[in-house]
Amino acid sequence: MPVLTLANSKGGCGKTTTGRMMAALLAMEGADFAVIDADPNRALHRWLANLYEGSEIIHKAEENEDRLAHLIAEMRERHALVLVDTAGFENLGSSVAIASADAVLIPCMSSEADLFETRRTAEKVRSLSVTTRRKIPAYVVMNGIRATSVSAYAAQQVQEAGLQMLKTTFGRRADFEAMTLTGKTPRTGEAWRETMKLLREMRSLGVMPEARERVGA
Amino acid sequence: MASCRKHVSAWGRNDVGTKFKPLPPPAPDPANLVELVRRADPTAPPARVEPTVRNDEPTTLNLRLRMSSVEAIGAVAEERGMTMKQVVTLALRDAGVAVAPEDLEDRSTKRRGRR
Repeated sequence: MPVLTLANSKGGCGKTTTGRMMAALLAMEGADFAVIDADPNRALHRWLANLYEGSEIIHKAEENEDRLAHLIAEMRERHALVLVDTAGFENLGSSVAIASADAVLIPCMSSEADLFETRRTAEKVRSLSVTTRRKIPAYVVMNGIRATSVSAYAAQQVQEAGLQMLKTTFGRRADFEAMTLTGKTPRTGEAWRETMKLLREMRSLGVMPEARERVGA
Repeated sequence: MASCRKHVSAWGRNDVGTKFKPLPPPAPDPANLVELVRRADPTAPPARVEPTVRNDEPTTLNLRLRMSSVEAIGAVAEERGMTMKQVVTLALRDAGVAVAPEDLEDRSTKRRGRR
């Protein structure tokens, strides 16, 4: 039912990487969900179609804004969760994915361009909330974090901009890169732990359904 | 609030007694949603521009040239056994202009007569 959109008009901030990990771990849980890749590069769709090794994940690619709006509506009727990955530049498809969302996740790295586009994207979410007359919450997840003053400063900038930042952060992990080439999902290690933490936090915020096992328990 | 209850039920959280936070009401229907987004964001481009199929009809290009230039083009055409139009279009193509392949062919009545 809920639609979770990964958005940021800055490319390379970790939207697809986050989506890839979330999808792989949700599949391990046996969750009822679908992935829509709205990025014309189709990196997530390509990975799921050609490299991914694991339980089947329903995935579609659509960048045309009209067809995308219909596809999201159709998928939300069929599945307990729809994950939408968007392109790293401002475009109508991303706006449609945001306007269709029940929550937006904005990955952000520690650079001026990331912070600037994160604020723009959050503003876009606010603007589309007004347009569609529904509150669409946006959560920033800091990505590529290293224990440096730069990362701390970037996180502070996000908070000072009044954006809701998740407690979960992603470090620079070799596993994120490796899985793009191996198709294998990490089952241990920091990349796995951080993604599990993200899923738990999203669930505690009420923007993602519980794992199937837990519902039945 | 009815829509929130619908979401809650679909997630099955009542079974485990979890406390819910209400979800936003459902998004507008797809057709309206795209229209709203286009109006809210009139400068946002599509993620991918669909190729447009254009009917590449023939048209004319009139050039006002010195007599000597026209004679020079005609002489080269005669020498190479091609039309004056071909001399011009082939030169333009060699200069990097995207000339349609049909415009590089000999489509004169003389050629048609040879068929």
